[in-house]
Amino acid sequence: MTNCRSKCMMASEGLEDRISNLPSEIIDRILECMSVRDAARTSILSRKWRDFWPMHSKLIFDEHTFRVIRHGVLLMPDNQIDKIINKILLQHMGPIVKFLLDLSYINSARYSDVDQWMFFLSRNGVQELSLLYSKLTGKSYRLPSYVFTSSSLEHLALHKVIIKPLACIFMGNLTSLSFKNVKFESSSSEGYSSCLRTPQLKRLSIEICNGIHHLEIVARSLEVLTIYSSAARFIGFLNPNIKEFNFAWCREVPTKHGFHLLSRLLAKLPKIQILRFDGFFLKYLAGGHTPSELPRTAECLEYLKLDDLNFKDLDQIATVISLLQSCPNLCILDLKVRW
Amino acid sequence: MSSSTELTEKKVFLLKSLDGVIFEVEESVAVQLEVIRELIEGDCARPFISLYNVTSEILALVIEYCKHHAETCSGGTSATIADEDLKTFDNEFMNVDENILLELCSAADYLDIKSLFELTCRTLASLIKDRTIIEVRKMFNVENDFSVVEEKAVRKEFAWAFK
Repeated sequence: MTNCRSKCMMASEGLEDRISNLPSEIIDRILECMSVRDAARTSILSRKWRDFWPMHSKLIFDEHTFRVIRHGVLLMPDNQIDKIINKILLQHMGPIVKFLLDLSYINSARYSDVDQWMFFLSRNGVQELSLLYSKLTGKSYRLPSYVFTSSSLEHLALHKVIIKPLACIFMGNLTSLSFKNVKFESSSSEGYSSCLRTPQLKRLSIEICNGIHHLEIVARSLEVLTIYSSAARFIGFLNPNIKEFNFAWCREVPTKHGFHLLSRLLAKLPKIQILRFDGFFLKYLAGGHTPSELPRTAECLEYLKLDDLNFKDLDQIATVISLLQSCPNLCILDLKVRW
Repeated sequence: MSSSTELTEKKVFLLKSLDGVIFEVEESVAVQLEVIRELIEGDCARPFISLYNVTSEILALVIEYCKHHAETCSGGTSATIADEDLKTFDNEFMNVDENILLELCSAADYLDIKSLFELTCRTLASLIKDRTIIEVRKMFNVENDFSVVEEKAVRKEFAWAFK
C-alpha cells in the first residue's frame, strides 16, 4: 500500500506525461466528449497531440458545436460553418466512424457541399450517420441515394430529408434506422415501391413521414418498432421477435376493416414486453366491433402506456379492457387521459 | 443451472492487484467489471482473479465505485432517486487528483466498466476544454515540443479553432 501511494505521489509532483500515452481509443473517447472546436484546439498541445485530432473518428456538428459564444462573439458564424466542415474533412486522416450533422445550421444554398460530405463518408467506412434538423422551418435536404449503398452503416438517423430510394437496397450491417419528417418519393415513374432489405435491423422508427409506402422495408430481426403519425403498414413489420411496439396515429383515422384487430396483433407478437399506443390507435384496433372473445394472452407484456385516451369513446375503452385482460404479468400501467 | 443460482447468492471473488493486495468482493460488485462478468457467463470464472494492470490504490477506488453503484441499483429505491444519488456520488467520486483520474480511466477501460469509463472520460474532457493550452500542458505535464515556427503553422492550419 505504501509503495503504491508513494508512486502516485511522485507522479503528482509533475514528471510523467500520462495523458499523451493513453491508448488511442481512450483519447478518441475523451475528444468525443468535447465540441469539435475544443477537440481541434488540443492539436497545439504537442507533436503527439497534433495527430490525435485529425485522426479522431467521431465528428459531431450540432447546436453545441455551432452556438459557442465567447466574449460575446459567436465562434462559428453561420456563413463559416460549411467552410469549416470542408476543412475538417480535408484535414482528416483515417476512417470516420460517426458523423452527426444538424442540417438546420447549413445554408440550403450550400447543400451541394453536404452531398460531397455524404459521398466522402459513404466511402470512408461510416458506421453511424445522423442528419438531424432542430429548427421548425427550413428547406429539406435531398439525400443522395449513394448513402444507402454504404455497406458499413450500422446506425442511420434521418430528419427532414427527401429520399428517392433506389429500386432495391441491401444494408447488411444496419441495426438501427430512424426516419423523422422524411418525405419519400417513388423511384420509378410507374410508382412501384422500392425495397430495403435489412437482415440485422433491430430498431426501426418512423415518425411523421410522408410517402413511406414508396419504401418497403424488410426487417425480419426487428425487436423495437416505433411508428408515430405515419401511414405505415405496420402489420408487415410485425414478427415474433418484437419486444417493444410503439404506435400512435395522433389523429382520427377511419377504420375500414370491421373486425377487432387486437387479437391478430397480439398473436403476431408472442414476445412483446412493452406496448405504447394512443387512443386513436386503440379505436382503430377496435374497428367498430366489440370483441366476442378474449384476445390471445400476452404473457411477456410488462409495460403498457396508453396516451391521449378518450374515456367517452366506447371503442377505445373496449380495446383497453381487452388488452388489460390479456396481459396477466403487467407490472406498469401508464395512462394519459384526454378530457 | 438451478444449483448455480442457489450458489450465486453469496458467491465472493478475490481480486489481486498488480502490487499483490487481495480484495474480497461479492458477485454483485464483481459483475460490474465486464471482464469478470464475461468469465462468469462463460463459466470460466475462478474465485481468485489476478488483475495485472491495476494498482491496489486504484482497485480500492474502483471497488468503492462498483459497490456503490451495485447497492444503489438493487436498493429498491425509485429510479429517479437512485439516479440522483448516483449523480451526487459520481460528482464527489471524480473529485480526485488528475493523475488518479487518468489511472481510473485506464483501469475502467482495462476492466471494461462502461459507466466509470464514460464518467472519467467526460471529467477529463471538461478539465481540458475549460483551460487554456498552457494550463492543460502544465496540469498533465505535456511537454511543448514544437518549435516556434511549427506551433505557428499548427495554429494557422486549425485557425478556425483558435479564433
